[in-house]
Order: sequence, then structure tokens, then C-alpha cells
Amino acid sequence: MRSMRLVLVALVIAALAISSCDKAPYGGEKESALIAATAAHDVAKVRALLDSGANPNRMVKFEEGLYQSPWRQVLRQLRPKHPEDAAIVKAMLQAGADPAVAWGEGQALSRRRLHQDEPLLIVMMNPNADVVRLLLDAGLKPQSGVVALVSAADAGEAGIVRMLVEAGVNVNGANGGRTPLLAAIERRDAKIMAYLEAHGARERP
Amino acid sequence: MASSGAPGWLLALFGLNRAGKVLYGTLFALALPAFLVWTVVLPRMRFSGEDERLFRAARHGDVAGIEQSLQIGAGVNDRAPTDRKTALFRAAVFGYADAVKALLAHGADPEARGADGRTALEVVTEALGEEKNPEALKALDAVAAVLRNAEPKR
Repeated sequence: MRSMRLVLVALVIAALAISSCDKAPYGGEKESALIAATAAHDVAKVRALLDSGANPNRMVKFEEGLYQSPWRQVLRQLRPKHPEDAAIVKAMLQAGADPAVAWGEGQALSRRRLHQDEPLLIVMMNPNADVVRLLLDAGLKPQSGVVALVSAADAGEAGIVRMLVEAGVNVNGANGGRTPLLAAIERRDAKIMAYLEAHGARERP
Repeated sequence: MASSGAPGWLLALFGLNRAGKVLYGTLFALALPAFLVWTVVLPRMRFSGEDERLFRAARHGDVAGIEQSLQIGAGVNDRAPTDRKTALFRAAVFGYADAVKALLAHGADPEARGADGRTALEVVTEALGEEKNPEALKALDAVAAVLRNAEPKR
């Protein structure tokens, strides 16, 4: 009986610890309006809402009933056909969006899961040099810089490659055995290859 | 257990007595480090600084650089630690027919396969299907012709 009580106390303590770890930020009316304006690519409205104090890092229920922060929404919807989204990114960063974390919820195998994605990796799904520049200027020290560098070389984005290398990402880092140099070779991209070589890239990483 | 009547060495062979357990326990404990040394450490050690120079020269079609690095000790059929391809692949995908010829003249194996299981000719053939730039197409065509005529090494 005594041991049962101990186990129960331990369980309660664990539950409390887990719930206090969940520091996921949730928002309210203002954030709902902000994410709707973001999804509508409405730069002026986004700016007005940010000025009125909406927080781009906070999640609200959005499409498919999943929680999403306006910050993650704008990063996910970056497409070449909506150049105005870069302006939204800029406005949100000025209003305090976190260049290192974007909060949101996703659904996989009918299970909801909370994501703390790195903005840089979300951007690299649809590489956008302007947005990478904004993130780095906002003081981002890339955690997954090597992954981003390999995908930039894969996509042939010379500008992003240059920015990341200048931001101190290791040119000889490997992502699952693939190095940036190998990505440039496979694309037969002599320009990116020469740039990486000039910054110390080797066949043996 | 000892009273089962079988000789000690037979029990050890099947891991049934103490000696057998020590034997198989040791083998199991050594297997993982040995596997890692074989697949990760050795390929890296086999790729020298001279090989690095050879690959760099091959990527730029620098025939003089290729011959120089071979003279100072690079291996013409040494493989890159990342994708297990040889310098021949590097010269071939960038369309340097002269460099490919030089490597073949020094004994490069045209049948060598990278980690993806393809030969240099197969990689170049795929590149020919993707390339749009007419200059680069011509260069890749020349490389493919050289590789097709190369005698496989026996």
C-alpha cells in the first residue's frame, strides 16, 4: 500500500512537471484576426493589427481546427506568386516574431501534434532569399544551418548558400551523409561548387 | 549442465558453458565497433589529401592538376567517402572530356559504381536528359562518347 501511494505521488509530480513544460503560447481575438489577414495576404491589415498589439507568436484555432500561429502561417504560405508575403514576414519580425521558433499544430496519422518548427527550415521548403535575409538580420543563429545549406545547394539557390555560409554555417557539415558540396556536384552547379570550395568545402567532410 | 556428458569444447561452440558465453559475448561486443571502423573510419582514412587535390582538379577539368596529384600519390580509383564515387565521375558530370581521357589513361576504371549503384556513363546519360544549355550538352556528349569507347578494366 505504501509503495502504491509513492507511485501515485510520483505520477502527480510527473504530470505537474509535464504541464508546466508546456509553455506553448496561445492567443485570442487579435491573433485570430491577424492569422486571417495573413492568410488573405493583406499587408496593410497585418500591419494595423500588429500595431494594435497582436502577437504573431501566439497560436489560435485556424484551418481544419488546428492551432496555428500567424508567424508559422506566413512562413508556410510563402510562394513566388505572393511577393507581398515577405513584407508580412518583415512586419512580424519587427513586432517581435521569434526568428528561431514558429509554433503550430499539425496532423499526422490522425494524431494532432504540436510543432516548434524552425522558421529557416519552413522557408527552405519554398526557398526565398529575401526571407532568409530577414531572418538572419533579425539575429537568427541557425540551429539546423547544415540542413538548410544542403537544401539551398540542392535547390541551386546561390544567394541563400552565400548568406548561410556568411552566417557561419559549417560548409563541411553533413545532413544524412549529404554535404553541400555533394549537392552542388549532383546539380552540376559549378558556381555554387566554386563558392563552397573557396570557403573550404572538401570531399572528405 | 556439466553432467550432460558432451565434451567441453562442443558446449563452448554452442555457447552453453561459461567459456562459450564469454566467447560469444566478446564477439557480440566487438561486432559493432568493428562494423563502424569498417564502414565509417576506414573509407575516411583511405581518402588522403592528395585524393582531395585529384578530385578538385577533376571537378574543374584541370588535366595538369590531375597528373600532378597522381604523381604525388593520389589513387586514380580512390572513392569519395560521401557517395563512393571516383574522380572519373567528377570530371564526367562537369563535361570535361579531356580530364576523363587523362584519368582513363592513368588506369581509372570506367565500370566503377558509386553508392547509388550507377556507373559514370549512366550518370552522364541521365544528365544529358536534363541539361538544357547547348554548350553543356555538347560537352556531356563528348564525355559520354569517351566513356562508351573506354575498355573495361579486367
